[in-house]
Amino acid sequence: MELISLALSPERVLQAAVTEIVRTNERSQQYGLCLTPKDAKELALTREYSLRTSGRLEFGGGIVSKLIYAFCDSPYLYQSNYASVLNELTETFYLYKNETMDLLGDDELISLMKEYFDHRCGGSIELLQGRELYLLARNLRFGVRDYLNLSQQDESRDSGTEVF
Amino acid sequence: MDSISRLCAIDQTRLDDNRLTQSIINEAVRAGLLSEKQAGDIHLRLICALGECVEWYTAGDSSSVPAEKAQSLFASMIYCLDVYLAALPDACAGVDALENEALYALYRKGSSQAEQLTRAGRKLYEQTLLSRISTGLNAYNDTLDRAIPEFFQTYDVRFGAHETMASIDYPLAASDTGKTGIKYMLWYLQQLILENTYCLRFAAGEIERLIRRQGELCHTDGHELLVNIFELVLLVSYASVMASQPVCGLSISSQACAGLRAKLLSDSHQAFGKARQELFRALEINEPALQACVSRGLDKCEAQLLTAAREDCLAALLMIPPEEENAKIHFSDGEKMQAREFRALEKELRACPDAGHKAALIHESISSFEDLLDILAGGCLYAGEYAHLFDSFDEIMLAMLLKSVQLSPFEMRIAEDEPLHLTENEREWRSEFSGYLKSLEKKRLDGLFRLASRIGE
Repeated sequence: MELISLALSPERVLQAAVTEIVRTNERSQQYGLCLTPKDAKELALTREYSLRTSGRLEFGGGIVSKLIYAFCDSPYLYQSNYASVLNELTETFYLYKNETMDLLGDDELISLMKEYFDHRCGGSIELLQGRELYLLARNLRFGVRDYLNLSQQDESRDSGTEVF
Repeated sequence: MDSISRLCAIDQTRLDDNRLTQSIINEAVRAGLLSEKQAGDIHLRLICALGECVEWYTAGDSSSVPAEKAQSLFASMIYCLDVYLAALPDACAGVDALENEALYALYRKGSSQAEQLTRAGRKLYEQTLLSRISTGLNAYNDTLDRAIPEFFQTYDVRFGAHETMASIDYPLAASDTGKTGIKYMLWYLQQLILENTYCLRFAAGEIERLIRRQGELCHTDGHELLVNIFELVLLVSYASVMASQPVCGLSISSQACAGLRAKLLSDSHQAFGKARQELFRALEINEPALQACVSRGLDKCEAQLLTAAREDCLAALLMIPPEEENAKIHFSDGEKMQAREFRALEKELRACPDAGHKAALIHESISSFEDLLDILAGGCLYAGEYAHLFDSFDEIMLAMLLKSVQLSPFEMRIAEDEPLHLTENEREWRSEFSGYLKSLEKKRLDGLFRLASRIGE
């Protein structure tokens, strides 16, 4: 039984995802952040695309909502960049679920992404992807016990050497 | 539709044991028990069940998994569903279960049943070890000692039930049924026990001789071959019966082979019919499962024998060595020494410090094999002097010594039923001889065993 052939109606799935994303405005609007239905649809499509390109299957669509609830209080999110950053965070999440070999649960990865985004990367998605998360994934792949300790890799940053 | 109609509705012969869930759904649609929409709903519910399975697999930590892992989890889930459905009274009960019960719950039940099958498999493995053939065939021993235990250690009945992670090199006579996972292992062990049961009716040494002979024909070490012992033994024993040779001897002379060929070319049907009955009678094959296993093997044997008879290569098929290699060697001992001369020789040997001199003295003074055995058991030689003496013997003498100590050919140790009355010195020289043989090249050693088997009593 091919899984692809057993997919639910795509339109129905997308509509359900958009509805769930728009519902997050109830919490995010207290930070002055709001997603339009168009933004929500784009975000849902980004999630689908990211899953496809990363070769993953997801049951339940709660990741985008989790990302929104985790990041909506970030000092680096404004209404003008809210949708675009969320799209990039969604792509980053699925990329690094693979890069960390599924060794981190969803909640732990999202929590680390938020920590790095706010306190180490100054709100830069490029730094989040290309430095902090890269180092974290490398620690996990090499079986480093204290995988959260990224400082051992910081020598290259201080000396100006490119890490990636 | 009433229960009688439902019972007749699904054609059980069309069900595929290796894809039971899918084939039950297909046959139910074909028989009108399920509509296409109902079948589609079952498929969708399977996807939802997969979501629950993924949640179980990730312990709720992840909502997504790599697609390959999802495929593998799905295959494992279907495997467990197949196990569950196979235990139901019939296919219609399976359709009812798929329609009306939670599929994830059925999967969990199937997983538990697969766990029970795994426990049964472990017990079956222990039984297999009890029926094991004593052989030096590497594939056979490696499969029993390493591959199968590894399977049971690594088999994951929850998330990898469909996988057969084992390097099972030893081939069975029965053909692969397409089974996987624990179902495959159960089938493999059951077949192996039947094959072992048949082979245990023959002496281990004779079986080993066949394997070595097969190796010679393939210009390689027989122990490295990927051959099925049961097929080898069955072929030669069946041919022995048809050639009116002792069935347990696993040996056919060239003349008997020629007679067999003539019989096969004149009326093979009658020859086979009579021989089957005779084989079952002579070896007391009465259990139905063993009879079925042997019968399947005999079907293949008959085709091979008939083809070989027509192509005039029966001797090669039955691994009959050329006539001169098979000829018996008749031995008659030389004259024994007088007791006084013998004692004087013993004294001289014990006083002699040089191993080469000792060997020369033995060659000059002794003309009887019995005297040689007495000298070896007389404590006249020490440690490394034995090897020096053995080196000076020709192949016939070494073969004579080999025959006299009854070494197990593939274990290279003294037979377990060695007489208890042996003295310390007798044990010592036998042990030294065993060690000496182990140092020889395999080809030479095989030749010595063959020569020893030709020496008449």
